[in-house]
Amino acid sequence: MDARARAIEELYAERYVAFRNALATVTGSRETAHDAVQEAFARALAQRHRYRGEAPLAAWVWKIAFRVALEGHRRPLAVPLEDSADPALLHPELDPELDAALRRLSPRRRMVVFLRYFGDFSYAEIAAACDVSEGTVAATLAQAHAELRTALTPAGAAR
Amino acid sequence: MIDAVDTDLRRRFAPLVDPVDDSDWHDVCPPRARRLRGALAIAAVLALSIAVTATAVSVPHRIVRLFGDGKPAPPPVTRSFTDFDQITGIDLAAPPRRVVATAAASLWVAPTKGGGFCTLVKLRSSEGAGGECGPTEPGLSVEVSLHGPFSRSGGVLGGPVLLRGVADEHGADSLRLAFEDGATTTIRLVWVSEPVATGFFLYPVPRQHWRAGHRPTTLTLLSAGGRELDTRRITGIP
Repeated sequence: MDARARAIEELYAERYVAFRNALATVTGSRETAHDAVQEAFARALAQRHRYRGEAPLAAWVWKIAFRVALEGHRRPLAVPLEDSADPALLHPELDPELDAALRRLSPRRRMVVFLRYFGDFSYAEIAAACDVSEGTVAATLAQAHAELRTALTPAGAAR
Repeated sequence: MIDAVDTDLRRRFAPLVDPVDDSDWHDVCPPRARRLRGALAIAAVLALSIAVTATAVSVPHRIVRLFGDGKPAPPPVTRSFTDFDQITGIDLAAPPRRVVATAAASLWVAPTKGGGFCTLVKLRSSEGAGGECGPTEPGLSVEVSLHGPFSRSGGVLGGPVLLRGVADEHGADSLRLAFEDGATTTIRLVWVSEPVATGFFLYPVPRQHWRAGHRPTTLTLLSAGGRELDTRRITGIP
């Protein structure tokens, strides 16, 4: 096995659950997210010669996974990929207040939040995954944090 | 301020994180699975365990790793094993290799000249590591390790909380972990070829299962057909 394939396998071992959980906010179920992550890693392996190492590997594979997830939804791709998703909590009933606060965020901002807290993505990984600068990620998260802080009660945050 | 909000949100999202690990690398990479089986067939000619080879083909759950195919250890891990060597007087027969990697920690193994092996768990979040050498008990053995703060009055305040252990049972395929709240999850067993010839597992207990009423209770070793081979009670989480 070559070094790039080994790195993809290691990424899978370490981040599979996080990828699936983040992607489930796009696909709407654990099962479809699982299928999308499996397909994404298979494609990443097959196309690994195209990865140039300029972005974090996690971000490169995430972009493949995101595209696979949207293909599964059969959404028209006339709009940019990142704008064609409307991610949401898989089980809003577990925290209705958080769900309501998240729904008030723009889809793009919500996706960044989910990448951060479900996908455990670093700022650099989010930046590469969304094709923006790290500064933009920091600003986006700061705005999302401000909106969420306003909407969430301390009692709910302490649950 | 951002860090405080970040921490609050992490806490808020934690109960919403689905901990079920239904990953399956062999499903992602069937060509590699075929190659691995081929390698095992060759290895069998070189007197590797026939039992390992036979079950590797028929068992869908457990992962089979050729020891020499594992990731070589970085210098801090190698140094820790060298310390083992010096403290215990046990001579290592080969450099350590990584056998299990999770988001929280990785498990490294090195065979010893006496026929056993040493293991070491390396946390991803720090330089911290811990390990042991020596023969294992037949069947299933499991240890709980806490790597974060916990309350004197009971309760884990920070992780990771790790379950790790070995299964010295050739028919072993996977593990079923049961929790106080009735939930169960499957833990993948990684079977490592000669010279180790033992199954290993490493499981970071999800945050929602640190609390009383939700903690792990029993770990059961299962065959590929679902037969219970061994069971251990889980204790040690305050």
